[in-house]
This record gives sequence, C-alpha cells and structure tokens, in this order.
Amino acid sequence: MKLVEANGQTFIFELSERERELLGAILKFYPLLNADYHRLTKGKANAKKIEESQALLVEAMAEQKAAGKRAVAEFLSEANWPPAGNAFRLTLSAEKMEWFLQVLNDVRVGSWVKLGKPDPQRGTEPEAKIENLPYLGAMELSGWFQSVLLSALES
Amino acid sequence: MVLPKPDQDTKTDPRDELEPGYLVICWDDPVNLMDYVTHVFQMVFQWPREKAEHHMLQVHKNGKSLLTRESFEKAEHYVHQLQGYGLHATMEADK
Repeated sequence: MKLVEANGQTFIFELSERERELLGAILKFYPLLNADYHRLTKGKANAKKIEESQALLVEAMAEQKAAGKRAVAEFLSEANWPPAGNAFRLTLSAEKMEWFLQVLNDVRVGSWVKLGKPDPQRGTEPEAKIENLPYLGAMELSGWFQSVLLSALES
Repeated sequence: MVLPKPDQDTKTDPRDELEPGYLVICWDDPVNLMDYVTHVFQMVFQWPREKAEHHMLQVHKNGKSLLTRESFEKAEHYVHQLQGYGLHATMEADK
C-alpha cells in the first residue's frame, strides 16, 4: 500500500491485490474491543457523577462501534476499490483517514487483548497456540496499515 | 491619610471552590504505536507536533503523562475522545 497522491484533504493510495485482501480480512475483525473495555478512572468509581459518566462512555462506545461496523461493510464494497492496472485505488478524505485509523487501532488493541495483553519488554509473550494465529496476524498487519496512513498524513 | 485597605481575597483558586478540577492522564501500554499516540494528541488537543511528541514520550518513558487539568465536563469529553481512539486514558479528581 503506497500513497500516490495527496493534497491535504484527499489521499489516494494504491494497493496490490494481496494487500487489499489482507486489509479486507483484518477489517472483518472489527469491532474487537468491547464497549466496556475502557474505564473512566483508574480507581473505584465511587462518585455518582463518575458512575453516570462511565455509563455514558459505554453507551457512546457501543454506538461508535455499531456505526463503525456498518461503515466498514460499506467501505469494503467494490465501489471503493476501482482497479488501476494490476492494483487497486483507494481514495480517502481527511475525515475518513481519522475513522480508518481508529478502526485499525480497534483491531490492533483488540487483538492484543485477545492475546492476553502480552508485553515483550516485561517478558510476557503471546502464548504459542493455533487459536492465537489470527490475532497475531491482525495485530501486526493493522499496525502496518496504520503506519502507512500516519506517514501519508505527515507527508 | 489612610488609604483604604484593599479587599483581601482569601479565596484560593476560584476553580477549586466550584469543583476540584480533573486531571486527564494517558497511560502507557505496549500496543499503541508511538506515532499514533502523537497523532491522537494533536487531533484531540490541537497541539503542535512538538508538544504532542513530548507527552507521547512521557507516556512511553514514565508510564503516564498528565495531559491537562479541566472541569469535569471538559475532562470527560477529552477522555471519551482519547478512548474513542483506543488510548488508555483516565480522569482523576485533582486533590
């Protein structure tokens, strides 16, 4: 996947068939993070205001993910991927870039959670078992696609 | 001539009278990409890249970074946004 054109508002990428397939495969994992994954505070939510806000947060996340799931299905439709020679073109607005980054990050963080939150720097590696393979792949690939998008935004 | 005594304001920070203020904190995790975290700080707080990068490095090196101190509503708004991007962010009352 490479950036072929950008003007600050629109970004055009070219993807090989294999890249398009991989992207489609990892986007089908979305959403992976549960709506109640995030907590508003680190400590115990003992204040009523915090408890109410926590409930609102879960509700907002659930809505965001439901809308995101519909948008992912639409995003993967043929119309968004016109062929360009042996490759495919993907055109994203600046707003869509932000959405896409969030979706990819949900897959990345969600895969990491499914893998038991490994932290190689602290000596915890993902368990080597066959069920973990899809999540290992999704975590690495979503990170790679995120890097391409972030580089495009910087350029 | 005796000048009138200026009104002595013994109050502390007026914000503290109304509510304690809330700290928005971002915590480290081994999964979010460093460039992604910088980008999110830029988008959510409209910070220049240097400031966003500074806070990202604080998160990375110190395990957390205090991003801002705000009213409950504003802190809540920021935390919701940061979590929408998948970052590990919380708000704590500033005691």
